Amino acid sequence: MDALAGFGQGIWIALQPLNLAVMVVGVLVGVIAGALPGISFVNAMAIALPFTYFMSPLLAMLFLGGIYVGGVFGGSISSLLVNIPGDPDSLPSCWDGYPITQREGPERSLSIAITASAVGGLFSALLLSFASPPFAKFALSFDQPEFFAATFLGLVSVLAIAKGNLLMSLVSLFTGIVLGSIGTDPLYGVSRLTFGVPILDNGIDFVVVMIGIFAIGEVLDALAARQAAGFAPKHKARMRVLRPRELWALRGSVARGTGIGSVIGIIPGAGAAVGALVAYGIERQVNPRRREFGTGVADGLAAPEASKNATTGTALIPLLTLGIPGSAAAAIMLAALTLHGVQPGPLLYTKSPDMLYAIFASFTLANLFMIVISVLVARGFATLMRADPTIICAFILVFSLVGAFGVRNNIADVYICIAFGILGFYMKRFGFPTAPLVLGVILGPLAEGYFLTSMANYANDLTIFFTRPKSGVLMALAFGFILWALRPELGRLVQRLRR
Amino acid sequence: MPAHAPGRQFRVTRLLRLAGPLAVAVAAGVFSAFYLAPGVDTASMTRGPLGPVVWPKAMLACLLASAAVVFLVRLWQFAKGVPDDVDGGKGEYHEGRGAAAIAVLLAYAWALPIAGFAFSTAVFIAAVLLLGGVRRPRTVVLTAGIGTVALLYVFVKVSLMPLDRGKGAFETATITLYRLLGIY
Repeated sequence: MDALAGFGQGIWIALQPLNLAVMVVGVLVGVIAGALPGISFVNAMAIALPFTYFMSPLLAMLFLGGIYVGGVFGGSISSLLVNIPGDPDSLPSCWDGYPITQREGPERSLSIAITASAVGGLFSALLLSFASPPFAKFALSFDQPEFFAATFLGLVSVLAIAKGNLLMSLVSLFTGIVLGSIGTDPLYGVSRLTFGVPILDNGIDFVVVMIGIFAIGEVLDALAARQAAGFAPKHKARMRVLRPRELWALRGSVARGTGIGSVIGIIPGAGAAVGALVAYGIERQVNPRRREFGTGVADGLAAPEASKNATTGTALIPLLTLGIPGSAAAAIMLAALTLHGVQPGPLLYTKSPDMLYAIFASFTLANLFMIVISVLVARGFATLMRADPTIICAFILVFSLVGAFGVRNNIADVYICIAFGILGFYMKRFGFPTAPLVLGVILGPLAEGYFLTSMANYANDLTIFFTRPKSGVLMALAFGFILWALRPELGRLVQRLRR
Repeated sequence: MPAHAPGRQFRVTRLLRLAGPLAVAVAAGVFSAFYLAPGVDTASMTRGPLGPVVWPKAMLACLLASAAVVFLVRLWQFAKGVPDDVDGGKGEYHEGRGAAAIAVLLAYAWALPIAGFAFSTAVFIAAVLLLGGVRRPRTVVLTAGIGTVALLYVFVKVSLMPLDRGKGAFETATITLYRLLGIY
């Protein structure tokens, strides 16, 4: 299908009343969850996952995609109004955004943030729509070694962004891979690490792991944390889209942020938080007003805002073209697809182009609806902040456990989910990042499957991953990531040797 | 005691941070040696250098190595008195409430098949509210009651999920409640 015609068809499907309504509800849920400090958009997606059991694959993706797009921006509302980031990716918005709120009022800061976010998100959605089909065509030429190399790249890139947390990320990642290997092996049919428990023969469902770690673990953490001091927005929140003249004045920072975010989104393991931090860091280096950063410079707010939403569309490119989720949000979308029997990968582009283009179109539309919905949520933000978090926590726990039960209608999944919730709570408590564990559970079995079939097809020749051009390039990139991750440690070692 | 002197909770947290990676390393070693595929002759079914337990064994070895390094680094920090990012001393966590939340969660999971979803959920929501500091009886009762009814409508009536009705008297009571609500 021609990309432009496909996109037009996708817009038509996405605008059907039910599809549109589900997407708008998703954006609304995302913006509200993102705006509430302590509930990230990933938490919201994990909690919402059980509600997609009864939807079609397309509706599920529209709903979760809406939460993703809305949630990434939603965190900025609390950053700009009360100087508390709703999500980690909204932290850079506090640095220059909150001083703008204090100096010029919230309308100015919120308007810059929503306009920059919408521009970044729209560009990223269009990239997803028009760049991913050729990439999928290219991926059709992949054989097992290339898929293994791509999965390996996804696994190691988790480490590349683990700044200062490398060892703990490794422990988390290997724990996830080991947990992913529980059950019957893909080639010989031997049960491994099942301890004689029959339900473990089918392995641990990664949906249950995600709900446990991201939803229950977070709620336990919120319940155990000491009550934060009461806070309420001092300002009446209003926002609007910037006028063309105002946007033109920020064109450099918005363009740089959008470009950086779009590239970072494609990299497996990176995400909105990395995109926002890198965009702010680069803007601080190149902007003519760099010395004033931190005091309320509009460019210092526009760049990270554009960047974090620019990661949303391109983050789906590795998921939809290769079937490899590069982030926790993409992993939840993978879960929604696999729950409905849809296997993402290059073949999806030939088998279900209508559904794919509707997803692409909905991402584009979601960025437009995000503007309207964010205006409403920002106005009601003071009321939102008065809601007792304990009540929200209680219902999130019930929704999560019912969601885990719904995976296989088996109470054992509820117990497994609780176990992972407790594990997630203690991992957070002791500084172990949880995202590498979840990606290990998802990517580990894929990597093992591709590795074993590569070995079976290529006479157990381990060099096959390096001698085939495409897999060789991917493996070189993977080792590049490892070196990048080890750079600070290697630098310290070299300094010591010089002394 | 000086304002910055490490308290008992701080020391316990640091010891737990040492014990955690050590426990992971030991568990990885034990699982690799004894529990990979007990009773299965994996060597005889292996073709070439690879068999059914090669992948998990390699990953367990990597886990053991990385956890051991974390343990050694923390042990070195502990011995040298190097400050780390232990948060126990800062008082950001209420240890008792964390443990109580886990206990309530486990009790809910235990009660689900016995008391059924409806009754155990109502009690669970009330328990979480009390744990979180909500003290007004009317708020607790109304939130737990109305919330449970709303959840029953969503999951039983709309989503047709086969949620547990409990055993014996609880099952009878759940069915009666479902009939009263018009969802059975």
